[in-house]
Amino acid sequence: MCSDLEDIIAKCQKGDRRAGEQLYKMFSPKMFALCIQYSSSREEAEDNLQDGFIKVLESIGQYSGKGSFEGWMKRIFINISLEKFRKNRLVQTVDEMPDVADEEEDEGGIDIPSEVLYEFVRQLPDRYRLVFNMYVVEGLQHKDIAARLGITEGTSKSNLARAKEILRKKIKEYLENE
Amino acid sequence: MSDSVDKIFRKALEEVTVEPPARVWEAIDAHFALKQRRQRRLFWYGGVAAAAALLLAIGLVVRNGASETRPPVPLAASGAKTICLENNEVASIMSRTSSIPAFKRRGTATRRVAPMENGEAIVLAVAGKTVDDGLREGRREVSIPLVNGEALRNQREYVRLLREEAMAARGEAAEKPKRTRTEAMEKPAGEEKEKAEIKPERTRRAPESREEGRFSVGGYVSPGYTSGSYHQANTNSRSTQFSDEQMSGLFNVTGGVNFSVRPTKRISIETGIGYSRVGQKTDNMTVYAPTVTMSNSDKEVEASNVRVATPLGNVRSKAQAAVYTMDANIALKDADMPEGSIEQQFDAIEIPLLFRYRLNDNRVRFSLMGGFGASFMVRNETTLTYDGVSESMGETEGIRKFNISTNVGIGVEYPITKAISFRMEPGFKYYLQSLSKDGDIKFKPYTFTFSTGIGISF
Repeated sequence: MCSDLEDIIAKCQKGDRRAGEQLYKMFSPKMFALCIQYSSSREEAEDNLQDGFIKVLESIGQYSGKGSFEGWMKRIFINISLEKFRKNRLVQTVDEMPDVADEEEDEGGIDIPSEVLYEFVRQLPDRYRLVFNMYVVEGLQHKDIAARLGITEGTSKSNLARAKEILRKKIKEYLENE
Repeated sequence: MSDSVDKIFRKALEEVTVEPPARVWEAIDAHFALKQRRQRRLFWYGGVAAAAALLLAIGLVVRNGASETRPPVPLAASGAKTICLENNEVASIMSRTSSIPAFKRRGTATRRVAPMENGEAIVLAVAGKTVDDGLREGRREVSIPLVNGEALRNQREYVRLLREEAMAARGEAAEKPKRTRTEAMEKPAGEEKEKAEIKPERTRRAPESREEGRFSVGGYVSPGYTSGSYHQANTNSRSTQFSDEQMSGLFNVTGGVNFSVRPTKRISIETGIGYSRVGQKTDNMTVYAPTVTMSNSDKEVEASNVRVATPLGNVRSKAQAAVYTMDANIALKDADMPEGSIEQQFDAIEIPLLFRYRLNDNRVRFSLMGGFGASFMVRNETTLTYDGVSESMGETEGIRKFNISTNVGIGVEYPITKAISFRMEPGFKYYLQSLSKDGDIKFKPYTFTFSTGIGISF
C-alpha cells in the first residue's frame, strides 16, 4: 500500500471528511464499475455506491491495515449489492438445466477491448450476471455462490452456463462484424 | 468457454472504471454533514437535559433540607391549633404544603429537504480513454424538493411529461445521443432513442436516516395515582396492626426529561431522569408512640426518642401530636373525635430504561413500551393530617434507598412540526421489591400514570 493511501486511510479513521473525499475520488470509478456489475440498473448502482462509501467511511476504523484495502472495500460493495438484490427478490430460482460443456474451440488470443467485454457482461440478465461475476471475477465456488444468493448449487451452475453461452454468442457476433 | 477466456473477462472487468456522477459524492457528503450536525445537537440537548436534571436535584435537596431541619415548635410559641384528646393527650396541627417542580422544554423544528442534483452523464473510461456510453442525460428543467418516496415518484412522472411535451413541440427533433461502439452493435437505434427519451431525470436518493431523526429529547409532566399492595406479618412484634381497608392511594404530579435513540425504524431505547413519587394514606388510625422518654415534670418528651408505629414502619416523630403524648398511643379517631390520617410519601429520582415498539407509521403514532426504572430515594416524609390540617411527622425508618420498578405503557405521539411532537403515555409502574426493609412489612407500590409531554427529534 502506498504511503499516500495509508495517510488518507489514517485521516479517514480520524473522521477527516476531506480525506474521505480523496478516498472517494481515488476509488469511486472502480467501485462504481463493480456496483454496476452487481446491480440491476445504473440507479441502483449509484445507490449501492453511495451506501457502500458511507459504510466504508463509517467502518474504516475496523480496517487493520492487513491485506489489500481495495479488496476490503470490494467486499463491502459486493455485500451491499447482493443484499439489495436479495431484498428486491431479484435473485430468483430458475429451472435447473444440465451443465453445458465448455466448447473446446480456442477463444484465446481474441482481441476485444475491455469496455466491450464489460458491456457484454453488463447486458446479461441479472441472475446470470451475478453468478458470472462471482464465479469468474471473484473466484467463488458454486457452493458459496448458492449460499450467498439463496439458490441451489445446480441453479448457480446452470446460470453460469447460460451466461457463458450468451457471452460466447456475443463474442462470435462481434468478431464476425469486425 | 475456456479458462483463458475467463481470464480475459476477469481482466477486463477488473480494469474497467466508470466515473460516477457528482451527485453521489454530494449525497455522501450530505450524510456526514447531517451526522455531524446531529452529534452537535446531541451534545447541546444532552447538556440542557443534564442542566435541567441538576437544577431539579438541587431544588429537591434545598426543599428537603428545609423540611428536615425544621425543629419542633413549642406549643405555646407556635400558635398552632391544639386539640385535646382524652386522658391528657394533645395533638398540635400545623399546616404544610408541598409542590412538585414542573418542567418545560423548548425546541426548534428542523426541516430537512433531500439534496437536488442535476442529471449527469456516466462516462466509461478504460486506461485513460473516455467513451460516451450513450446514456448521457439532459439537464434538469425543474426541481421539486423531495421529502419522501411518493414525492420522488411524482417528480419523475412530472419530468417525464414535461419531456414528452418538449419533444412533441420540437417535432421529434431531439438530438440523437452519441452511441458507443458496443451499444451501436447491441441495440437498435430506435429502441435506444425511446429509452433515452423516457428515462426520467434522477434525483440522488437521500440517505434513509434523514427522513426522521434517530435521536430525540423530551420533557414530560405526569399526573398519576399511586398506591401499593400491603401485607403485614407477625403483628405482635410491632404491637400494631393495620389492614388494607384503612389504606388508600395518593394523587400526585411528577415529571422529568427523557432521551431516546432509535436503532431501527420501529424500536427505540429510552432513558432520562425523572422525579417520581410513591406512597399511601392510612385512615381511621391510631398513632402509637411506644418509646417515650420524659424529659421533665411538664410532661415534655424528648422528640428524638419518640417513635410512632405506622403501616410502613416506625417514624421518629417530630410531630407535636406525638411529642406531647404521655401515654403510649394517640387515638386520632374515636367516637368523639374527628377523623385523622397519616400520609406517607416517598419521592425518588428515577432513571428509566425503556424499550418502545412503534405499531404504525401514520400521522398519529402508537407504540408499546416496557422496561425498568432505577429509583434513588431523595425524600421520605410522613404527614399527620387531623381535622383538615397537616403536620410533618418525620421520616419512616427502614425504607430502601434504592428500588427497581417495572414500567409498561402505551404511547401516543402526534406531530406538531416535523421535529416536534406531542406525546401522551398512559402507563403502569410496579415496584419489584417491598419498599420497607422490615421483613414483616410487605409494601410494593404501584402507580398509574398519564404522562404528557413534548418530544424533539433530531
